[in-house]
Amino acid sequence: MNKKSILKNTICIMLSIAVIISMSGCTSFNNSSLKRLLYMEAFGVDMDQEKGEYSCTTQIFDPMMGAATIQEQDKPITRVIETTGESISAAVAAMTEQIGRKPYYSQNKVIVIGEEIAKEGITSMTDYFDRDWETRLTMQVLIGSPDASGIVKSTLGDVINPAEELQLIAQAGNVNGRVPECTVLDIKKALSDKYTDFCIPVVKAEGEGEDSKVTVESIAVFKGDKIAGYVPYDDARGVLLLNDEIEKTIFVIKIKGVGNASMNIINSKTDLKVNIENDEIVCDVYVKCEANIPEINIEDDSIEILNEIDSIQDECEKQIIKEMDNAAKLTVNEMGCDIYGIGRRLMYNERDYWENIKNNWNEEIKNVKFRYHVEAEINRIGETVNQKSKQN
Amino acid sequence: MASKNCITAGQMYVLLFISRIMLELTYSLETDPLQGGWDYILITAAGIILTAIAALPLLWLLKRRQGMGIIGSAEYEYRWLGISIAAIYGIFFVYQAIRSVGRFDFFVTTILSPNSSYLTFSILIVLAAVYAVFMGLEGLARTAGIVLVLMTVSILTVTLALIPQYDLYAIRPPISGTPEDYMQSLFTAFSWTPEIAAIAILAPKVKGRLNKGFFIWMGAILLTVSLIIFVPLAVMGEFGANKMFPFYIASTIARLGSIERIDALMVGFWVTGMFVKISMYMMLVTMCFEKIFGKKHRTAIIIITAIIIAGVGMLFSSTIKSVYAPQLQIIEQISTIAVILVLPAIVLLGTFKKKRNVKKHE
Repeated sequence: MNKKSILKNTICIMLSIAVIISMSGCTSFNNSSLKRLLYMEAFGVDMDQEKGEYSCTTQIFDPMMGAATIQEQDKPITRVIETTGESISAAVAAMTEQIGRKPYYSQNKVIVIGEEIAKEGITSMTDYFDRDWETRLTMQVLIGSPDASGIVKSTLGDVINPAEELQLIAQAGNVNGRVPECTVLDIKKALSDKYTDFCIPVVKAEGEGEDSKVTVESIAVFKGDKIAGYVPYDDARGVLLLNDEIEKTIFVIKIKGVGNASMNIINSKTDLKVNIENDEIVCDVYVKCEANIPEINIEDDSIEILNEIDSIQDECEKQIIKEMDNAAKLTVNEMGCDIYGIGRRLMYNERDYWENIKNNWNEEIKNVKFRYHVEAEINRIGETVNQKSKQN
Repeated sequence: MASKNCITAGQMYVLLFISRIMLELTYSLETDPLQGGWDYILITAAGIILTAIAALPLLWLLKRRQGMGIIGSAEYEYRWLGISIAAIYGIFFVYQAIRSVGRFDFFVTTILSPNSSYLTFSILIVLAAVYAVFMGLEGLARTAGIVLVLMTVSILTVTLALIPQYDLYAIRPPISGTPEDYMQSLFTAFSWTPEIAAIAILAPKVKGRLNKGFFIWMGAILLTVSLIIFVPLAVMGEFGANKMFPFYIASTIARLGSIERIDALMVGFWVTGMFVKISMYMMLVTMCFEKIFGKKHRTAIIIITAIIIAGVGMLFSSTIKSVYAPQLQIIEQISTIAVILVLPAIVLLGTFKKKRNVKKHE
């Protein structure tokens, strides 16, 4: 063997040893084997007014905490730790005072921000959630009313993993069309842009133990980094429609002389076009949606449903317009919040006009006019043609 | 033995492409005034085109002195000039390798494992690169072919997976900066393709047409770099421009069905790209200093270079100030202009002078 081959082989062996030592799965550089970690599942942040510190409530999954009996396997697998700190990272680090294991953030599902902090401003408290290397921008964010602690502590009817349930509530918008999904990325993106605002669902905890539940109460609309107002849950769908966030939702259409028809929206697309007309900002909202009818409660069984399709569609379009208009008036004309990207569209489409008004955008936005163009189409009416009953 | 040190033009451009793209993936200069808007994409593209134009004297020189490279051409005029050129290019490549190791360290210890020692990563990557240098240019070029496929797949995966989240209105509209902003950004963008200098050294080892491949290579860089800048901006808006490693952060958001952690896969591929980049620079350093000290000192040159790169590379990544030191940016910009434009132009002029002298004697 010549000198060159010996050198090459030595380097190969050294590299192999280095790889084996340094990259052996979970027991890597940080000495953080799975057993030594504390998996954060849900994280709540409130303000301890007396101390002037952050008060953090964390739902954790502790791999060392196993179920002793079969009965216990149905109980929640998580527990709650409460800590305080001058900063979020200090409060997270303080968890080790109660459980001597390293908190691991990457698995965290939901962040709940206390309503009080949200009213004072969230810029500084959200910094940790995008600066720290373990945090993920895709984490769901909720506002806890009146505080975050109650939400994180709730066992949601003693489910096995309450944090997972909480995450599903935060994502429920894609099923019910009333809860806007908000992630850390959405917040940071809006906070980095001085002309765009954002909204976060507000949740409330009720009951204890098996009766405990968390429900969405309203949507908090932010101006800058503070809450500017709330959109009631019943009007929330208008916000999602305007923001093109509707995946599925059910409209119950009341038609005089016919009855109630449930329209299950299966596909919806919203387009916002902003232009200037007579020196006024006009926002044209185009909505196209497709729906199926899963249920019809007709008043008179002599009514032929197929003959009523057009009127159901028309009524649905009117309801969509009504909900969007309510949401637009409340969020844009009253609160002066741009959660629909109107300013950004002006920046592109009406550059000169935008340059003149951008410094006064907070006031100008209140004068934006909305025009709606909605097309709703029924694709299917289910397996039954007409309703036959003996009710009359 | 000869085949070990000979590659095709295509293989060389693959090596250089990986090197250039790695710079874009692991580096972010968030002080750039145009970041966050279309202007940044446009000015980066303009910078690449300008760099391609600046490389024309070098391409002309390589055409006139086929198979010689810049060192050979300079040596053909005067031996001292050849040695000086070899030394300057050698030092330039050492500097580039040091900066690459520093950036890689900084990337890994910021994103992947902040509690780890940057020393570990420097040593590991340089050790791997030393092995590659001993394996020869052809071996590295073949590895680069595989790495190119992995990198392309990784970039396209992130780009396509994020399409539903693109929001073009989130990107600041074009022509939003001042003339000073454009000049500053253009000057910075100009120094971002130091790989052109590698063509000057690798040319004697390359079979095939250099010039045709050059423009395809620059076109590929232009497209890929634009994509790497565009994707994070379209997904994160101006917030994306404020992140240290925007494309990596975009990959942490991307999902493919139920697969969520695409970023882990990306990093794996990018580490292989970094290995190719540092190995290539070490090989170039070896080629330059071999011209000065002779081939018999090859092993010593490789080992000393490795020690310098790992050691100084660590210093460049130890603190945030050392990574973003403005003096380093200026050194980088001036030295890049010198090796891709000024020196090749001087040697090119020398070839004309020599031709005139020959004609006079005739």
